[in-house]
Amino acid sequence: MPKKNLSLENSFKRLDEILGELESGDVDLEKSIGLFEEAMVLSEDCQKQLNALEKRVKVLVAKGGGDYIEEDIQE
Amino acid sequence: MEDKIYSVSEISREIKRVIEQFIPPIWVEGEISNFTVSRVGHVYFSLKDENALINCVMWRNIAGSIPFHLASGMRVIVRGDILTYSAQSQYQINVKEIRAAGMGSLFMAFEVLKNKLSQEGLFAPELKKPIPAYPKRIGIITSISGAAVRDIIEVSGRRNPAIQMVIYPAQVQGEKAADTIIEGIEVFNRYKNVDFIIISRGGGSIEDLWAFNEEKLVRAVAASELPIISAIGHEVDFTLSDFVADFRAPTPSAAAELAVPERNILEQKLVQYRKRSVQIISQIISQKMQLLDNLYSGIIRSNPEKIVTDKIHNLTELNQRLQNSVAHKIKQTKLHMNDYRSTIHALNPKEILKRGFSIVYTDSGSKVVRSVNEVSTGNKITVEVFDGRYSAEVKSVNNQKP
Repeated sequence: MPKKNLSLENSFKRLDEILGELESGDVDLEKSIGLFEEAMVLSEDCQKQLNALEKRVKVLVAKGGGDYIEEDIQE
Repeated sequence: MEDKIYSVSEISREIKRVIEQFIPPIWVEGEISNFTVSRVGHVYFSLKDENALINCVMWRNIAGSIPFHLASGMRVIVRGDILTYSAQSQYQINVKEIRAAGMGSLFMAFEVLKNKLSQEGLFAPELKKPIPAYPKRIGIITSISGAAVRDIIEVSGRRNPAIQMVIYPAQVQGEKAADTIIEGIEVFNRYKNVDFIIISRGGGSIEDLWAFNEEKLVRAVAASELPIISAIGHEVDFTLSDFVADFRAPTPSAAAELAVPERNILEQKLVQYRKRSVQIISQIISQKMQLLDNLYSGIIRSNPEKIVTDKIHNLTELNQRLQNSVAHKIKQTKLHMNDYRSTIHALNPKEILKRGFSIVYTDSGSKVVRSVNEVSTGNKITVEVFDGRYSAEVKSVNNQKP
């Protein structure tokens, strides 16, 4: 089963891998079903990440002592 | 005498007259700054030295015949006359001729530092870090009020609103600019909560962009662990920061275009992945089913019951063939026997008697007479014909054949 919270970059990489493995044709049925399920969960997860809308633009504000906090700004 | 009161127009005209009358075409040496070319090819720039600056214009027909490339920072000597615009009380040199006068001081400094850093290997292509293709957060170091940041936010939002922009507000011009930009690079590298950094500034003169040529900033860009995209000035402006950055974007908007993957395209890619996965898995399953089918018919073929039935069938067939061949043999033999019988029949001497032959025995009846020499006149003989015997007497013997 896929690890949780894979970055988009790693998810896309993993999806490529899975398809490559499936396409190679030398995985047994049980494993290929497992891979298939993993691909479905991963792509679902990617879709969620793509849809996630957070406050999009933040600005770093100095707090003194070299620390910064992020504040939302109006676009 | 009462002082004359001029109207604005009058004094402007007077200044224009004095300037144009008393300043003949002249030669002026200075450094080019704010160099721009208009859409139709007229060239505008300023000439400056340490203390002063004067605007210049060079019309297209003159500009087109200059045998070398003009740029901000170059030291030149121009010949021209002074044009005045009364409407705004402005004046400028109408350049008729221009000559290179060695490189300008900033330009020189740029070249010297560029050579030094290049020799140190700071621009080596193998030092370039790849820009992550699917960022979630992008750090931007730029002026919070500039056009550059607005361009980046707008383009990025259009392409992929799910990507977060974190702005480090920096000064991008003036004495403190390099230090604040360096601070921004350090802050992002300390928190490591962005995928890469865009350092950006809108267009400007070589002086405006000078901070990006300062050695300490160039070295900070090179030292950053996070990949850096530089998007400084316009397409034609190159700074040393551009040379050390991991990627140089020609403009701030271009930086966003290059750095932010379009959500639509990512979604299409995902759909492709899903489609392909379903395709392959159904292919694999139908292949396995085919395999199963083949195995099944293999098993059916090697079922012991079937083998026995087959053997029995075989045996019956053999048996049948055996029987058939025996029967044939018997029939053959019978036919042969019939043949033999009729042959034997035909050979039976008694049968010959039917055809009118007769057998002659001596009187005792024990010996068949085969020669005239075996009988004499007066001998009694017995004659056998097909239906019986009778006795007779030899009347004469004649040993001549008839």
